[in-house]
Amino acid sequence: MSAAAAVGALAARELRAVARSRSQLYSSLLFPLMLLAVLGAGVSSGLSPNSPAIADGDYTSFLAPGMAAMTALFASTFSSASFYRDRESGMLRALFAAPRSAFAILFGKTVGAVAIGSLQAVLVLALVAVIPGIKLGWQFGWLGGFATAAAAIIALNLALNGFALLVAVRIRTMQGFHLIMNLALFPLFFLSGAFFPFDDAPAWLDVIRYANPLTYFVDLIQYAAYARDDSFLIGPAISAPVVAVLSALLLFAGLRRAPAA
Amino acid sequence: MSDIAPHPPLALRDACYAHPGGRGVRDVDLRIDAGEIVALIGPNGAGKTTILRLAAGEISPDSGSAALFGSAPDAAARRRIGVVFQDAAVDDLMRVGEMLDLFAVLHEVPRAERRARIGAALEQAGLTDRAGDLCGALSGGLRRRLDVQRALLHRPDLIILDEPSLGLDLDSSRAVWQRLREARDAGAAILLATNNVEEAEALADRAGFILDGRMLALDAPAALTAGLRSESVMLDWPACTPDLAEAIAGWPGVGAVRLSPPELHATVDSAAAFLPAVFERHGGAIGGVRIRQSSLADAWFHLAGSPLERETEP
Repeated sequence: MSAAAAVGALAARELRAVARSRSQLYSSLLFPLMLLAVLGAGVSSGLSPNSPAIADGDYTSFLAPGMAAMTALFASTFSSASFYRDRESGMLRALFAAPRSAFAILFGKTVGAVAIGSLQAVLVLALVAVIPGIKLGWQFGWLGGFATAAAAIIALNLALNGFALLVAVRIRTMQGFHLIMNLALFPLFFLSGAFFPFDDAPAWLDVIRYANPLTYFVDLIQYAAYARDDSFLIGPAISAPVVAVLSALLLFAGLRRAPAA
Repeated sequence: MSDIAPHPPLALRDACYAHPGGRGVRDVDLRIDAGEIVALIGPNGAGKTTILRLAAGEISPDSGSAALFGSAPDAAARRRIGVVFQDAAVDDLMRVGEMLDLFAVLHEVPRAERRARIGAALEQAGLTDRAGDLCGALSGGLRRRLDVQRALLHRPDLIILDEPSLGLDLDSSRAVWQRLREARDAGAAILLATNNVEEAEALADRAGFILDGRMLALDAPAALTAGLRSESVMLDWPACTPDLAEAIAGWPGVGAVRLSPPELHATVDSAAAFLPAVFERHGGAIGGVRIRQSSLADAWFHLAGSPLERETEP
């Protein structure tokens, strides 16, 4: 019970910190929406995509689930940087001096970070779903589809926060952390299927697609929230178990070792 | 405080620890009993913080042993210690009350007592009216007071503090010192590191002098200053020789004399009587004089052979 109280108190602290960092909150929410509006409208009208994966050439709707995934990406990167803020303020040493295992401290912070990233990404998904003109094809009805997408988003946040912990253990400075996160994650994200379908991709791109861990998360979100025709997707029979295994592995790998205080 | 343990709250025996860069501490013996304040005094880089980290269980000795309450530092021992680091551990994005509440939960303060303890801590820190303020809005002195209360909230049996009054004005320092005396009187053992001699003299039941990773001396302040006379005189005297210093040590009313070129340091019964005599014979070679009441700083000078890096005013 007291361990649960400690985890809850640490998670609540992370949530309050984000609520008080308005600029972080707003930028995490607004940037994906802006990108959706600008890139979506630009590609839809300027390039007239004719891929069968993009229904009616409506690229904005195709892009919408990917923007929810991108929100999780931004939010988890910001949240994980709190390790550096805590190190600079001396809070990390004080937290580790408490009679709690490093695992419990990290888990509490991670629960908060996952909650923040998931709430923001789910909120973006809910917002894009009600924007007139965006046509999402929910699986299992809109409630079932939304719940499935939300579960995939939570799994994505677990994986991203686990990965961020692995980076934070090895990189001493926040600048270095952001550099590594951006270098590692953004190319993977661009090649995850969030920005373009792989239906007519060359073989080498297909290899990258299947080797890219982010592909499976994006695939599952697209399946749950967008795909009226899922022939361009890997499909939940593969992506769902891969997502479950990857998120569990990355999370536990990240929680195994504490960053230096 | 919990019942007094049969084992001392802290016992370091022949503890050695080397940092990757080579610095560290060697052969440190330090036992602290309940209801006792021990101050570690030494210049920056002497090894004080390393000893505190060994005491807090943050690091383990390479050789020798470190025991908290008779056993190796573990979660059970950490429940009974409170640590104040050199820089106040304060989260600018938390409210003052939230900070204390978080650490009350982490340190398992019983829920029924939490509110009363936090209220008392806020009052002792002079922060009752600011419980709802963000910590980022607090001055340096108030942050330190909050930090000390954070470490004492769970009523630890062993309190470890690194430079608790660093950067504080005199009022804030005295408020912190008073809080530490109260904790000591309630039975806590306290280990603090400082290079502020006034702080050590105000608080310490015993003082340890640390230089180059070794404990030069560990005793009651009165014992450490026992060989000293009441006033301390520092003469800026580059031409002074060891023979001259030895001769001066034989003058009546002169106690310990130490030559640390270009300075001669002497403790004397009366500077008013000593200075005319020394100026009459050697005045032309003396460039300057400083006089103060003899203190642990003078005991340090005589043991270490050089002054502490920092002056004693907080």
